[in-house]
Amino acid sequence: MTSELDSKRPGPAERARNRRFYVQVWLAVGATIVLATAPGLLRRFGGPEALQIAAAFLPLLPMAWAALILIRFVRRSDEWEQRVYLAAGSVGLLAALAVAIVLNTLFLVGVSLPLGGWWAVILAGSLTMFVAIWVQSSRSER
Amino acid sequence: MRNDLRLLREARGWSQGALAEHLGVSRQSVNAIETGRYDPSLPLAFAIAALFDRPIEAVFFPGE
Repeated sequence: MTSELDSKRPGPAERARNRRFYVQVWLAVGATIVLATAPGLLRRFGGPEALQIAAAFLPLLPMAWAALILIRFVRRSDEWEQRVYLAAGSVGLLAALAVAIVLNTLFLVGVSLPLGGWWAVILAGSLTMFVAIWVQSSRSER
Repeated sequence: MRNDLRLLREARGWSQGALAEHLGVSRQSVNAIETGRYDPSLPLAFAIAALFDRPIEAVFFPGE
């Protein structure tokens, strides 16, 4: 009885909400990655330059969808979760800015970045945000 | 702010997840309130008190 009361398992509505959010976000991330490869493929196979440039904007579509998913999720989150996401989002934004500035400075002094090196900005921001959420959630469980 | 949320919840035989469902918040929020790591807003505090049919001052108390 006691172990049931001490269960850390979320309720069915919360599980369903989280599952729906992660499915939608991963679909949007997958679509963004797939569409981000389109300009490179067009270039490799000799597609028209105008089409290559137009294709470079394609990832914005799933990113806009991801933004809507995120906004809806945060708006429907409760007050404690919103506080956690605000702090984590701020830390993630700072990390992304820091990496962008460092990469830009390296670029200015002539350091050649590896292909796709600018993805480090997105990786740093998102990973830092997820770690910050995890740390804050873990702290509240102690 | 201290509170008797854990005692009240266990008296009802509810898990944190079950209480969270009743309140429309996440389980982690319930845990954060129970452990005193988070003080709920007044609307949520009133909702908690109403759920347990108690005045708010019978659930939440001043102090660390």
